[in-house]
Amino acid sequence: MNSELDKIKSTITISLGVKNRLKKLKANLSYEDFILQLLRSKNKSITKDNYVELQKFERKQLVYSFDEFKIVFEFNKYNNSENYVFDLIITRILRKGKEINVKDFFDPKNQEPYFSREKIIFGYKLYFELLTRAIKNEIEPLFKHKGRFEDYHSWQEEFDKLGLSSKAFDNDVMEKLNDYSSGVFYQ
Amino acid sequence: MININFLEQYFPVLNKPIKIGKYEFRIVFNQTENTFVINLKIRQQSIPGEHLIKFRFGIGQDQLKINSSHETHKPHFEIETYKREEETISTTVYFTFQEISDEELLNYAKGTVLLIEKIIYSFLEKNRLDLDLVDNIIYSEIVLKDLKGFDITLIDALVESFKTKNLILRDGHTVIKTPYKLQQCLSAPELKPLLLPILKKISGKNYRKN
Repeated sequence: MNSELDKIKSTITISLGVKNRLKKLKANLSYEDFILQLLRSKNKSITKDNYVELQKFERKQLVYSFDEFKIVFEFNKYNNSENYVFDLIITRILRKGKEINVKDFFDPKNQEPYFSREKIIFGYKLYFELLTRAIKNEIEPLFKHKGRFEDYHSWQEEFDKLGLSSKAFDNDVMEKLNDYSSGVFYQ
Repeated sequence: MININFLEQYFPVLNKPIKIGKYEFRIVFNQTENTFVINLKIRQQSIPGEHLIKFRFGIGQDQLKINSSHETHKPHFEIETYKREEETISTTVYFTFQEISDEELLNYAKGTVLLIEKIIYSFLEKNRLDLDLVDNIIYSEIVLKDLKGFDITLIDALVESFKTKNLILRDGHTVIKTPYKLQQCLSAPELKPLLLPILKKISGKNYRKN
């Protein structure tokens, strides 16, 4: 016990989903002991001045289906690092089971009209849909982006809330939005 | 807070991707009341099925972030490499300038601009790309003329920081003390113009060119 306050019991309101995940992770520990363990492990990694961080991320694959399309995409498996980024890319596109070249799919000069993809918005809309799915899969199953995909304030708030780093926000959101506003087609 | 806005004169395009061959270059340049950043980012175009290599380095100062494990509000120099193969390997080296005058920091910012020029030039050379294209990203001639010597000032500061403060490996509290260990962490051949002088100055020896 660190202070008198530590002796007073209190409650915090969390969703049932988070509670269930905590329950699974804490094993035999009490909730309080488990939260204290999390706090300790967070403090352990505190460094000032100079540091080197080496990270290995496994790649994870998911499929997003809509209409007659299957979009296969991959990203880095989440870990609690300030240097974590999703680095999401589309690896394969199938239309009715037939493979379409990914580059061609987003090429505005391609004559085959899959969608109105000559509009720059198409590729980015799809990218942010996939990012939402990656977040749902890796971090928060109930995640839903508020507003339009261009609304970086919402993304920033959501990334903060989810404990994602500013590096992930810069790399996975802002870089794409900057390209979009500069008129660079998604690829 | 230093004002870096005058350094904008050395770059034709800021904060937008510039494509050369299968590579994308981006000068991240921003100044606000409490923050600044000058970064060079180079990334290979992400083609499905192919590996990705990208790296970034530069100087900056962020806002205070309460949940961060390091002091983001202090000026720092950061080097980051990222390789995506079957799995992804990312390395970040972060030097914090703890006590520093505005004049020194401004000199380091100038040194960063000169190093950006040198690294772009060496990158184009190594990848057999047209060297004249360097001017699409940074105005080479004027940078070499105006900022001569500031790269050495910056490298000296990084070497001093390595020698006098701990460079801690985040995973397991290992302290990096030897240039050999540092070289192992920073093996990106693209960053040679920055890394070789650092390694050389730390030990006075010549280091293997990757």
